[in-house]
Amino acid sequence: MSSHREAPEISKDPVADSTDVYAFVSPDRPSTVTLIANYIPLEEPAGGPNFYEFGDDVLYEIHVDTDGDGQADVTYQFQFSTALRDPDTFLYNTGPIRSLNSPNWNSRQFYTVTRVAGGISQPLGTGLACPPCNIGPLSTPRYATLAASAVHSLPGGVKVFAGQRAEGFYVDLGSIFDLATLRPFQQLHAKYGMHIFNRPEPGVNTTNELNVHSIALQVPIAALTGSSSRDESDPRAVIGVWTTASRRHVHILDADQGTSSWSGPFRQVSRLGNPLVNEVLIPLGKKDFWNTQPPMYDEMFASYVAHPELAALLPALYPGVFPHLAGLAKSGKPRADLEAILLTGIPAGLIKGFQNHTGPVLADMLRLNTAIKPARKPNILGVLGGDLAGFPNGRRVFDDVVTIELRAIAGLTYPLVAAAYKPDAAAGAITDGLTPEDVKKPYLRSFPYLGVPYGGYYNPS
Amino acid sequence: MLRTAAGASAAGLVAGGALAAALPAAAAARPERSGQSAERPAHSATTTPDAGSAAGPLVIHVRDARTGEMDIFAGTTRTRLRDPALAARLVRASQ
Repeated sequence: MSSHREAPEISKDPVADSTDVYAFVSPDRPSTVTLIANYIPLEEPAGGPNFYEFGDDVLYEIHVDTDGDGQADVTYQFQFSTALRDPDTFLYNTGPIRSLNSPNWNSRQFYTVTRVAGGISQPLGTGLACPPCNIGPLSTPRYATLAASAVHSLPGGVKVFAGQRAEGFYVDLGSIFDLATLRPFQQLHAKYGMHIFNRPEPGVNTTNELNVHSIALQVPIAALTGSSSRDESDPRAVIGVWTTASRRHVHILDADQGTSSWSGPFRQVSRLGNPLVNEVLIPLGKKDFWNTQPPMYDEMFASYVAHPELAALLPALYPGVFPHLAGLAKSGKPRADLEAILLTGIPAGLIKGFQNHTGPVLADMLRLNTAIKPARKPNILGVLGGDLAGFPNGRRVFDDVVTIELRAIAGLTYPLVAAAYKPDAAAGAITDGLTPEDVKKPYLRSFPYLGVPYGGYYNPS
Repeated sequence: MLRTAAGASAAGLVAGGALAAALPAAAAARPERSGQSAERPAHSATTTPDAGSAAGPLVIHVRDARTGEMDIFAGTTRTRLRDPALAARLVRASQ
């Protein structure tokens, strides 16, 4: 998936597992950017009795690099605490939850937000309430309104929300990891001579009817860039965004007391900038290590971007379908197009009216040119579809990042750096066969943009 | 809690007040404190939130009993020191 359970260690630690990062100019408040970090993959809506919540022992952060060095210039930190009203009941709620301070709500979660910049920590909010999970029509009636009341306004024109949302990322994971038997083209997959499929089929959305936990911020652009420039060629307009989760060095299980405690500094255990980087490009033996590193050191992983394993596999799995890609992979030439998209940003001059270049430092960050206005008619293929406000210029909640990255890896973007290269016809057609129509819960038109979570009573349906 | 790593003779010990007597000697062994960025293993990302909790246990991780290299975890800090005599005492106490 985008980054769900993408590395061996973090796959066993869901509350610290970052699944998706989004960064985009807010379509309804274009003087602001919205930054969203999702955690806790694949939440079954009927999660009782212990419905999903953030980790009280995890430090969640959203980082923003404003000068292209792969280091955070502004960091927003989030720390959670859970409060039980009645420890003597097994129930999450003892009646309908109609408000965030409902006496019927037993297990509540609160959080603090701290802005760190220039070595100075500034608390922005404390005791902020998360909404409950969406349990069902009796326990959480009028859920959308209830959850909307958990959007908090903070000083400086900042909005924040932290809580459950419908999973907005769509992917046919079953097809990708069954040896890349992409359903729209499964009859062409002939690597193993089994010839099991004789016709194409629609994609299957693996994340359908599942929820995640989102940390969403809406911040004035000027508060990040120090400028309200609307000139897309201005390097100061580009920010790099990523999220991390960190745990304390030591976790002690006190069997005598039946309690846990922690000690030592926080140490990073999860990281996410661009979708699918650790998932698809970084090899298994390096994934855990990658998760502990800051973007500024990503040069050590650059060879996996410049020579992606999947680019060599596609021609082998689909014989005759990707002849030009086969030649490119065999040539050993580095994929400077992928390095630009994922590690440096795209320099000016390659795509008319567009750049999100942050300089020579190779760093996996989601780069957003904040001077590019939101699209009136967004294209889910983003920049590949001629929509400069979409991925890889930041990432919107509905962008089809799987198709975009599949096509890029298949060679569609290589002409950006080698004009003579002619992509295979299949590079412009490859997809996992899904669109936002495969997400049952609609995205919202306003903050926090991800849909109302699926309720436990009716889902799976 | 005791751990012994193969080949490295590493031990970790959770301690309360009982360790306090040993710490003055340890303090003479050039401790290096980190909570933010003073001491980072190569390229690791360590971060300290503003609202760090000083409460909680004191934990000593003897990384190498032979050289006496150990980490002391307290609150949101880690202090690395080298004290072979203290390390040897801790290992003996754990046996």
